[in-house]
Amino acid sequence: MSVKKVQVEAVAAVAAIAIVVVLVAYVAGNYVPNQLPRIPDQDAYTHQMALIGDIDLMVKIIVGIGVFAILLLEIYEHIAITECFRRKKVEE
Amino acid sequence: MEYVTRFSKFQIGVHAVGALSILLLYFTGFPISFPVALWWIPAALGYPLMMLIHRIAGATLVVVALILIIYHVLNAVFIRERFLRYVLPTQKDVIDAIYDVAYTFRLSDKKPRYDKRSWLEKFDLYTIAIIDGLLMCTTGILLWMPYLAMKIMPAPYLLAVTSVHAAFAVLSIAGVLLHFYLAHLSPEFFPLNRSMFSGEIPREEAEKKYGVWLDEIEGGVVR
Repeated sequence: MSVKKVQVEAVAAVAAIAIVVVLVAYVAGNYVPNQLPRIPDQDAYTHQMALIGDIDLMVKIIVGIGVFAILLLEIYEHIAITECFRRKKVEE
Repeated sequence: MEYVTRFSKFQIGVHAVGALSILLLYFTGFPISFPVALWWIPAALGYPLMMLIHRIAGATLVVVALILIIYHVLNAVFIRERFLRYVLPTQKDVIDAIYDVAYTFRLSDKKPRYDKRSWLEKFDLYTIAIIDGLLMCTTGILLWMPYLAMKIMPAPYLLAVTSVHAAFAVLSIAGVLLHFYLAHLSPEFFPLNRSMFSGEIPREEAEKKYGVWLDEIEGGVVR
């Protein structure tokens, strides 16, 4: 028996919803409010905060490069569109 | 005018729900990162309601991301082995990109005929899948459930997760703008691409842009 596309679509939708429902139910069942740990070790805390600063800087650099790359693609697409319309006009 | 079916009703529905949830996430998420410029959103909605909408939209986006992952895997396994070619990078994409750039800068008169998605559309797909589907969903879940996150990482690291979530939201909006640009300002579909709403594109436009894909569906190679 061959699998139909509509069956795949139905299974994907039901499975995805089921996974999220299970995740939410698990989290709700394990909810422990006001249990934030105290800072046990000042040195470890200082080290972690320094690492977070580095991660923050790295993320900003990655995002900056990403936005620049996307901007370049948008400029390219703009040139491509202009060129396409130019050729269309020449043809006409 | 003759039309070709490009997207099923299911794909249209999933796209609509995903797009709506992403827009809602921007609307309710950016005021947290830019409270001075966007103070009026929490002022209008109230902070608790704004965060509730953000979480519901986030959970919806997680559902959409999971649907797309499961859908693509099942399709590739059970329906047609060539299905993943529509989403994974291929050698033809590299060749198409070279010809496309040459055509745009008047170095060639040959415009490439694309498969179901062009090289640029695939890149656009990856930015949305990786940034929104993977990074934003994962960091969003960790921030939503900090007590769960603290089981796997020290509490201060949640600050780094916050930073990643906020920074990649900016990249996400850049990716979505590229998506708008490619979908609606492309010469074949300017000024509005209706295919994601109706599921169909005019055959003439499909012939111009997605020639290889059209040959396949008409030749009966791909169902």
